[in-house]
Amino acid sequence: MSSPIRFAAVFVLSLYLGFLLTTLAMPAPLNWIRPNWIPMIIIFWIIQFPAVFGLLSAVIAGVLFDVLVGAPLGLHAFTFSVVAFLTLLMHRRIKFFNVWQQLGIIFVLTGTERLLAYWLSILVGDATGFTMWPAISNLVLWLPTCAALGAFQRLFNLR
Amino acid sequence: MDQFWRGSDAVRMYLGYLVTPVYWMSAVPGRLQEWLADTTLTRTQLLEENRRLQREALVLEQKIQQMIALKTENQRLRDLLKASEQFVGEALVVELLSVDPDPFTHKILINKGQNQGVKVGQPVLDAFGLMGQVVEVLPHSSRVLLVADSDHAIPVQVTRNGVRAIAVGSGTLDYLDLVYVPDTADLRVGDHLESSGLGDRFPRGYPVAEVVSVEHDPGEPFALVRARPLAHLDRSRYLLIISGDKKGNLSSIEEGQVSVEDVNSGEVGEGEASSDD
Repeated sequence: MSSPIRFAAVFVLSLYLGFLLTTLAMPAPLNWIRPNWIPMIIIFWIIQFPAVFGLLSAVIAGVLFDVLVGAPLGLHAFTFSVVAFLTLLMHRRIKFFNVWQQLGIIFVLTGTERLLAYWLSILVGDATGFTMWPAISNLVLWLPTCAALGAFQRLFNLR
Repeated sequence: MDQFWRGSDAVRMYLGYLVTPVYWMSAVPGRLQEWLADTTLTRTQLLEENRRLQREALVLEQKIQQMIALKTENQRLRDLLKASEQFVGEALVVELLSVDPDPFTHKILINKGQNQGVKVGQPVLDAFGLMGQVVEVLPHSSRVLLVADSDHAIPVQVTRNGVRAIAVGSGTLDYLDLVYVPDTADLRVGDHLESSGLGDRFPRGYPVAEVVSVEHDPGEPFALVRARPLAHLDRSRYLLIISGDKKGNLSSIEEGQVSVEDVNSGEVGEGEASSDD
């Protein structure tokens, strides 16, 4: 397989895995702390391959996510691309951060995404409610996610 | 984008083909568990269930016979009164696919969509009462807003005396709030609320909720009334979508048809059937 196809395949595969985890039925209390998988996945791939993944992949993921959760079309496309943009700005620094600093960045990035999404949904009159718990569970799950996506990367021999 | 561009609906529809498999996949664990439970049933359990269902079917059939007589009588009386034609629709049996992961809303996803003739605004019922209405349609699935969602309101009337009210979702599945009920309104605990058909969204006469508390607070302009939804909002797996417009024209639904009359008689027979076993 040529390398662009492999990159696309891995991205789409991890994206669908993220969608699956987003929609998986869980007990009601756990819904509150359901992490934002998609921003985490986007951030991981951008840090690993800033030359390959960028705003476009974030927009694609966002539009699909909008259809998946029934949000106004383009809402998450915007928020995800903002996250992607911020990550692209800082990916060199993030790579050299230690674990705690990295977790802090993840918290801020995904928290920003939540805030933006909430703010935009208020603008279009589709707001439901706001909670910061997903950003915190992202924090907890960032390292396992990295390990899983890293295994993906090795499986498909991406470099 | 949705706000300013009409074409976004079509885009959403096509993208729906891409994301629907995700919902099918996420429903797999539940189906697997159901399948396991089905296949590991013992023969005696199956026989027992079969017997129980046969008993229930007998009771229901008898109810239907009564229904037919009542219906003709009702029709005759209506003819006498020269009353307008009553709403008759058809129902499409659908299965619950998943529950919306957003903890702030009460929406569910069902396994029939535009390709099966589902349209936005159609009411959804389960065997016990009104569940909600279709708010978004994808090719093979659609999203249903439940009556308990805080964005949802439904015009209702008391079955006993026809007092009208509006039942607004409270955000929890346990109860609905009745708003703008005057302190003097004749509402009692235990009253059954049915859809009143005002607003042209829900057909008349489907059970919605049961009043559980009526509070008269002198400081409040209206009475505080709470009602428990009759539909099993968090348990029902098989649901019905009512189709057909007010004039009784049926939309094109080919498969899985059940006439509404059957559903109604099922509701009537419910108490009897459950007390049977």
